[in-house]
Amino acid sequence: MIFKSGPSRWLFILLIIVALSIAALDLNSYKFREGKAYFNLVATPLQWLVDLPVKMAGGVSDVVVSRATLIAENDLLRTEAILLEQKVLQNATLSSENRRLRTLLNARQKVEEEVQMAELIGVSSDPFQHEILINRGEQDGVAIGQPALDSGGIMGLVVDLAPVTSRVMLVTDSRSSVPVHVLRTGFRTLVLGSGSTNELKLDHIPNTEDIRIGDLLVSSGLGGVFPMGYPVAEITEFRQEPGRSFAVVRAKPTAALNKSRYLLLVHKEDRLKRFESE
Amino acid sequence: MSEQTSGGGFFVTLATFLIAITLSQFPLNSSLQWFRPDFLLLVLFFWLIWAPNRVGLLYAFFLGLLLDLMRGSVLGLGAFSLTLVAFITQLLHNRLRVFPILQQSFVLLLLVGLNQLIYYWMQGLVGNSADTLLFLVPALTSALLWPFVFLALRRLARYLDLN
Repeated sequence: MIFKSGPSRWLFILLIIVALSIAALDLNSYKFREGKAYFNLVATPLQWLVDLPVKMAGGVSDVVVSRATLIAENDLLRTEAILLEQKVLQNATLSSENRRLRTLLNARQKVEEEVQMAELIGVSSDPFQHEILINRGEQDGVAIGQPALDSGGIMGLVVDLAPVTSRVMLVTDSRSSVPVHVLRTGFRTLVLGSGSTNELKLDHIPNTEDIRIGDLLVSSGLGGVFPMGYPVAEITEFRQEPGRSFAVVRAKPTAALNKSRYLLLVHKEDRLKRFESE
Repeated sequence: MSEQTSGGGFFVTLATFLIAITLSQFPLNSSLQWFRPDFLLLVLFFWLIWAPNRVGLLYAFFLGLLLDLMRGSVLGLGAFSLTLVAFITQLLHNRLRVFPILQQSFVLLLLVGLNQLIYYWMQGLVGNSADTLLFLVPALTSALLWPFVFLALRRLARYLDLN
């Protein structure tokens, strides 16, 4: 006989109740979620372990790369640097001109956003949950709700914290929505995650709206979560269906959501202060 | 509890669980992700059958919590579904132990399917809607993988003389 009296029913009932109450707390209490950051520390070493093979593969390919490839890459980077420098020069004159015009218009000065670099260390294994893990956490000043960008545009926002890591929900997650405007026309709308990688959708767009394929959607800054003026997505489909009152609109994120290994976190405190002083 | 349960048994079991969790989080191509077997449940199922007086509901509960922390889902949901599945396994234990491997595979198919169903049903609570049934595929791949996992872990357990 393996069990003296069968499996323990009382232990089962107790554990189920404990599990469900933890889940209820996690869903409802913001305080609990903040405290959870310290529990997340338990998972951090394992998460580093999961990332290790990818990192090692990157290290090996860095070591055994050929001289010719290095020279070619170097050339490419140099030309890119020159192009970017030229753009920065233009940018400086443009921003000073902008500031002058804004003072003429008596408008508030725009503040430069402070950013922090972070590196991706893990990807959510659940196909329904588009989340990534980054190597900056509470101790680095990261806060829940902080937006994350890459060189292409907005990637998502921080939804979960641990002392040295945090979790970023990407814009393609089905829970995500970003306030944007169409750069060409200024039409304001929301970009919603569709739950499939590399596709976003726009709901409740009137059939008569002037939206074309290739239009750039730029974050509008409304709602106070995402900073203003960063590219979010590009329209890939605009279809008017005669039977429906709204058009079917699809877009593609401009950020390389499944490629970028480095991302920028925009500091939220400054932005909040800015909103308060407004 | 007259069998000698050496301290080594605990660490070996823990190591297999940690490897299983690592495998379950390992980054995969997004289309391959649908086929990823539920490694943690495979290993847990083995130990529940092989060492029932050492590995039980408490293991399932804490592994579930750890899994929730790893994958960032609502804390407690993984613990809930793993405890439930472990309890069903314990109820069926006397039969499972004498089942041929393929029949164990079939039971595992149902259990992984149940686990996935609970998980995605609960995901609906946080607003993640699933409009495809692809999330049941891991049940099939886990069942297909079970004979190999079973033989490998049994060899390990016999070699180390674990109970």
